[in-house]
Amino acid sequence: MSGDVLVSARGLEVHFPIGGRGLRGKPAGVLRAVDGVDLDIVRGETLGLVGESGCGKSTLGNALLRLVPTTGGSIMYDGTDITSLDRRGLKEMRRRAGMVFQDPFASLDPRRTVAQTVSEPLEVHGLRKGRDKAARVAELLELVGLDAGVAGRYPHEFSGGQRQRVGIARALAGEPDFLVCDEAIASLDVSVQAQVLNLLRRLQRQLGLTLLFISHDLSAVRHISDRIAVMYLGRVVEIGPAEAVGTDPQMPYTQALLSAVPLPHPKLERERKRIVLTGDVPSPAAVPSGCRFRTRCPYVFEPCDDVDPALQPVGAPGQQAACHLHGVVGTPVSTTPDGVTTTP
Amino acid sequence: MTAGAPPVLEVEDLRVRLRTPRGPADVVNGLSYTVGAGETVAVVGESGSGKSVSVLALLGLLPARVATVTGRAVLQGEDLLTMKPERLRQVRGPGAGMVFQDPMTSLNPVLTIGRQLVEGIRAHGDVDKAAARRRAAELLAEVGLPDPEGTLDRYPHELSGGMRQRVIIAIALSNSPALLIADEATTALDVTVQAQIIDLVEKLQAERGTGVIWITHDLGVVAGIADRVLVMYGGRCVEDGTVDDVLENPVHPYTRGLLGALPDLAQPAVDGVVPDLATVPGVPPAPTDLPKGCVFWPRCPVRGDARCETEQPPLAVIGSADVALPHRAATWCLEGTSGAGSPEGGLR
Ligand SMILES: Nc1ncnc2c1ncn2[C@@H]1O[C@H](COP(=O)(O)OP(=O)(O)OP(=O)(O)O)[C@@H](O)[C@H]1O
Ligand SMILES: Nc1ncnc2c1ncn2[C@@H]1O[C@H](COP(=O)(O)OP(=O)(O)OP(=O)(O)O)[C@@H](O)[C@H]1O
Ligand code: SF4
Ligand code: SF4
Ligand SMILES: [Mg+2]
Ligand SMILES: [Mg+2]
Repeated sequence: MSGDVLVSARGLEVHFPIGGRGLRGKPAGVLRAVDGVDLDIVRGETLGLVGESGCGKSTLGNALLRLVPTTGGSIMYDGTDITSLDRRGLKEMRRRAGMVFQDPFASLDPRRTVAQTVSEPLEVHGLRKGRDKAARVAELLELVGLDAGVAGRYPHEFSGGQRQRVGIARALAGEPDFLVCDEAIASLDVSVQAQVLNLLRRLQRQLGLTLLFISHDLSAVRHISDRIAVMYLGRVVEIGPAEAVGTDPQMPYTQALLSAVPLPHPKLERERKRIVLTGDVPSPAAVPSGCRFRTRCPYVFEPCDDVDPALQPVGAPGQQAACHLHGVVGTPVSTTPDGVTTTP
Repeated sequence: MTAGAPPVLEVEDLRVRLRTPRGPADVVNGLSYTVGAGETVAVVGESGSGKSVSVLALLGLLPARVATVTGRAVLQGEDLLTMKPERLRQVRGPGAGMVFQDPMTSLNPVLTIGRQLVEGIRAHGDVDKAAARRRAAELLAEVGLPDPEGTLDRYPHELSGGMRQRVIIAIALSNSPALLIADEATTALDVTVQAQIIDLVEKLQAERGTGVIWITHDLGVVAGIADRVLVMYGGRCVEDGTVDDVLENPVHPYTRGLLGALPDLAQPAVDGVVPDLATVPGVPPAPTDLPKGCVFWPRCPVRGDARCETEQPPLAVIGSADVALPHRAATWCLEGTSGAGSPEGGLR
């Protein structure tokens, strides 16, 4: 990988306490939503982030913007460790880094008009005032393909796709360097999706924006991303150039995922061969020892229980996968007294 | 569709007008379709074209203060639109289950997942609490949630977007409804889980003859599950037919534009740069101010007929009318569009 790194995570962990809250207070266990992620995002690139529902993509995106507390590891943002920022530092960081949220219904305040929502970052950071602000709002709405006339309306008057565009306009208002798009196009029809994808790419070229693009839509991810990272159960299990990961995946989970992409072509779709994963879907509250994918992997073999695979270079230049099929590399498992296996 | 069996749902001339501060908005303008037993009707179309509103109207879920709904919607012999509210509440669940587009607002944030599922199961069936809880855990396992028992005791905000969506799917399936309405039900799911949910719905259809209305932007899903496709634009159906007809030989200029905007998995980069995607230029019409003629007229790349601007084209049969599901489109310009797909439209 080349270029300078804008965001860099090392050993990043976000663990949530679960069960047993209430009077006695002591959590019964932890849910490892993000569990040891090493990730570098290069300035100006689009990194696609894909993976199973519940594998920790949103939590990782939120953690990189310090929207959820991290429980371990570090995040460097443009050379500063943001896990230890004070309030002022955080505020500045949040101007430079924006977020388009997954749920367009929950992420907009129903009592605020579109103009109020979109101009919120302008107010928080004291960027524009008065007529200037109104003009900027109109400009942002047009940028995302909404009529400037909608500025006075409330979220309930919009369809899902229209709301999502309001969310994107808000995220762009502070002129961020880094944008996390969490399922930003899922609720849009394909022609509007295409508009938004083109828009994001244009903004990226014009403004040098760095994007983390979280999506279940693998065609869109391949279209927009320079590189793709694949997550499974709190870890990055494969990463590499979009072309390589998209056409020649090296980790069995990525292979299964790509085989399940439905094709918008009835005849081809009826003939498509899907790799059906069997076996237990593990919970992030009880992560399997060794390789996290071993309970469902069609190729599981001896070292998979005992050694937690590390990312290793494999396939195309810049491609890495965490799988022992490419050589057993990783951390041996140690077992705690209560039978929970962990990797130190 | 089972030949001869009566349809599960028959919608006739459904119209929805909403009161807005800018005057009345005609959001659904004369929608007619049927859903047969075991049949899947996919509804696709422009964002804001009235897909969600049209199904919310069927189940009486639009606020009466703002919405005027007319037409007929007969579910298993009873008209939903004239039904008493109490009866409608009974019908929701075993009669018609719905998966809503917005998972967060359709779950109660202060109740555990278990409470909400158990309530749904007990509301329509005579089961004790323990049995309902067991059934709830089973349902969560069927929609592929890890640790179903543990998930019952968690709150909606502790789940990921896709996990919440699966809880709502589980609630909708809990009563094995005769009609299932899925509004963007799998958009927050990865493709492997999505495939699992689709298998589950197909199983229900095979066992129970459930008719399905599947609203989605994902044309890959449509290709895989739909018997029939309905394309909406500006509150109207502008094209419908079998999945093969609509996706392989689209006729309406909007449908062609929509299919042309798909990112291609095998798209080649030109000198390292991936070309921009095709889009449908322009913006959709405001439902408060619909064009007098064809709804697509302001954006149509091939408008040419004198009537385009002044007269709404009717849904007319293309090709043979003598088939179970005729291919229909609402456009004045049909020349050169019938038969095999044209080079500029359709799929690569
Ligand atoms: N309560 C409301 N008051 C006023 N207008 C509304 C209301 N609900 C929806 N609308 C408008 O009705 C139109 C249809 O909305 P609907 O949610 O049905 O679109 P949709 O086809 O489901 O779009 P999407 O694909 O984005 O979900 C939109 O123009 C929307 O702005
Ligand atoms: N506030 C929270 N408290 C407890 N657990 C949480 C919380 N937020 C997320 N989780 C758990 O963390 C895991 C990862 O969730 P996350 O939302 O990051 O998944 P995701 O990959 O974005 O999934 P999706 O594709 O469905 O959106 C899930 O098991 C979820 O239940
Ligand atoms: S390490 Fe073993 S279990 Fe994990 S993906 Fe590779 S072969 Fe499968
Ligand atoms: S009726 Fe005219 S304007 Fe409308 S879609 Fe057909 S050609 Fe285009
Ligand atoms: Mg998420
Ligand atoms: Mg909708």
